[in-house]
Amino acid sequence: MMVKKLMPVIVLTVICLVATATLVGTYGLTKPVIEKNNALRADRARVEVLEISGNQGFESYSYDEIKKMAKGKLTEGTVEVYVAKNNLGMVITTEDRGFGGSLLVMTGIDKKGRIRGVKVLDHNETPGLGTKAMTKEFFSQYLFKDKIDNSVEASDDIRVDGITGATVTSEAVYRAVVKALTVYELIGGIQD
Amino acid sequence: MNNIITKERLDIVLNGVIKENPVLVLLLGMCPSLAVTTNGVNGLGMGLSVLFVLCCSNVAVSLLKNFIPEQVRIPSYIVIIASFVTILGLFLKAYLPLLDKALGIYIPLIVVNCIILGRAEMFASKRNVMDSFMDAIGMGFGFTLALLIIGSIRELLGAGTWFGLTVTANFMEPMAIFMLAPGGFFVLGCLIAIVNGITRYRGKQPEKAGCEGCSACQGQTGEAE
Repeated sequence: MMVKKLMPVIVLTVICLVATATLVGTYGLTKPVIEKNNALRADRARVEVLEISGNQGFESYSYDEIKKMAKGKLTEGTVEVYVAKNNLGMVITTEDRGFGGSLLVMTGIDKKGRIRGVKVLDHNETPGLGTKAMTKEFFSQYLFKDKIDNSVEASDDIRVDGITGATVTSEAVYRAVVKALTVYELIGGIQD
Repeated sequence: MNNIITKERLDIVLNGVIKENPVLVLLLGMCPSLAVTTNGVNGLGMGLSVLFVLCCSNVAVSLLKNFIPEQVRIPSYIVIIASFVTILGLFLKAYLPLLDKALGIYIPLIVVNCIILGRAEMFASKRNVMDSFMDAIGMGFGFTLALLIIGSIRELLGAGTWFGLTVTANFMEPMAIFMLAPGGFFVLGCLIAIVNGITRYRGKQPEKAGCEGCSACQGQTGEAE
């Protein structure tokens, strides 16, 4: 009688245990591949925004290090800071709010503080509208500028345009890049 | 055991693909059908993912049907399905990271896909392993086919491409709305209407035997069927 009552509990427990064991095995099998993939993808993205870094890779600054270098004045929305191993530039990932939520932008900045590449990593923007503000052609206006300013009194050569139908996304990208430039300045640029 | 593939089993497969197509006839699994079908590749990827989970879970449930007590069958099915979905998710992340990124949250959400739980409860828990597998193949391919069609139409109209290849983009302005949620509803609604139209049309005109050479109903009005 007792056994019959306990049967459901036992069966469910056994099923859960077997399932867990299978998952542990699969996780162990796929974890190294997933980590390698992620590292590879991140590295490829960094090279894309900072081609002058060559193939020598990047070194990351930890959050505490960045905070110390920026003397506590770190801009909100700073995600990652990587310095090229050949010391020719820096890749800064910043975050801002787009139309559909958080928008991650990677900015490559060279030794002279000029923007060398912009790339949107993660986003929830509307396909076909917001995504228009993520193309290489759109980002080309950022290239080789060491300062961008869209305020009314700013002169035309440091302005960046938005895209019709993607106003919010264009502005989010603009703000994220401004943040990256600010972080670069706060850190004090590339140290030799 | 000599005949593993019998006519009855083929019928089970065809039933899932056409007659009881999970998306277009049974209207199950609407959420992924609308959300991930912005292009053909995503539709196909999602469909095959569900096919994989469905085959594994149907076979597992069918094998275990005599061991699982009535009271805990639903939790057991959910654990089994969730395990296979997690395995699938990990493998996709490891070997097809781009597809995994495109499908995003909808991979873990396969756990609560009503097609899979529905087939476990309605079919696999009552039939033998081979039948359950065939049912999973049928239902899975039916789902894949529906998603592939929806995805292809949306990609073609919304971006002018098909599987990433430019088709009509050069001479026809793509209609971005088909990439958005409303476009998904339009396409799905039209497809369901077409399928309904076909089944109704076929249902209204059953095969008729002629009246020539038959006098069984002589003197009565009406037609032979």
